[in-house]
Amino acid sequence: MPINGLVVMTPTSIASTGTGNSSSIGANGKVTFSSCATLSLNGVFTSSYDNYMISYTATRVGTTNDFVVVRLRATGTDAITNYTYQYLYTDSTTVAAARTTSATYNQPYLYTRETEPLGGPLFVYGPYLSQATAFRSTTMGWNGTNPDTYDSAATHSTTSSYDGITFLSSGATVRLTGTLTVYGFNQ
Amino acid sequence: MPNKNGLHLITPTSIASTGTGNSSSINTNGSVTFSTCATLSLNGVFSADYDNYMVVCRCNGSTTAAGVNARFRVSGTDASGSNYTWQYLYAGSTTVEGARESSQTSLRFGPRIINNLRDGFITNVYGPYLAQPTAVRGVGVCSESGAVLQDAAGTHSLSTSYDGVTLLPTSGTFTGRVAVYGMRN
Repeated sequence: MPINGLVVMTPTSIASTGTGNSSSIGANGKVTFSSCATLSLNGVFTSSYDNYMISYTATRVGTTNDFVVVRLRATGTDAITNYTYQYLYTDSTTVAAARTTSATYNQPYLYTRETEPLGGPLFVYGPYLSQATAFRSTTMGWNGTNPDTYDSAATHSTTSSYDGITFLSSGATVRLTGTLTVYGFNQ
Repeated sequence: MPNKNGLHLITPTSIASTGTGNSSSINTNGSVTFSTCATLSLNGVFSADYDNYMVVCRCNGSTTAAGVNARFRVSGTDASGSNYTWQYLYAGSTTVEGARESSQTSLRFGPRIINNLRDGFITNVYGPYLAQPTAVRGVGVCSESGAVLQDAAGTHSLSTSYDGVTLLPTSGTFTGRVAVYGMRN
């Protein structure tokens, strides 16, 4: 019998904030959320798997161009220091890259829009291990009226074990509506 | 009709590794844990059951910076002729660069790796077991300078069927865990 390669990780609990927010866990582990300033998933990283893929899509409530960003968390508390992220972005013929160090979050996604969603996988390497965590995303987002590519590589240098992740917007000025599923790579 | 699993974890039929003080072992479900390896060979991971594969690895290196390269292999022997071509894409701070290497004896499979920092990559391999050229596409993160983005695309031009792959840092050794998944046809 073949061994399933990707295992859906059902959060042990979720929490969300924001005006009019709601969030719920579906029968198969998918998380549906609406109008969330923050969305926190607890218990999605475990000792059973080293590496994870998060499939995420969202639109926004609000009009500000805020990046969609993430923070690792442990036992219900976000880690808010020690992130470094590098992005590579293309918009028509424009190619741009930059690195941000000593950040308070990882920035794996570009902007989303009110009705057009961003999306793409975020790969997370070793979040539950007591070592630095690496991230890699390959996504599409919006910087105006056309879709753009946005890739990122990132690290969180604290050598702690994390069991969860929080999604929010970089400027805390928009709220997010969408779905996500966390998968563990069976090993 | 019930849904079927689309991604299957594959257990190598055997593995081999080199390097001073190296170790490698196959875990219960099929992933491979390795330490201080100059080469890590996975045998019997490609088969007629799947056309395309995903290789997922977290690792760190032993030198200031080295790439993770690969050679395909069949029946325990690496294909080491100058039949590999690879193209990389790198973004570090505001620098974006790429280059192509032709007639190589291996291809770039993962990102640069660096000592005691944590890196990771996912590389898709297209048609290694088919008697046709093989294509590779990898996306990786290296923790050099905090974070570096490095992708690679590569081909092996021989129309030979391969059942395995050897991973090798371009210098030094590497340590981590790797797993091969078959994408259900």
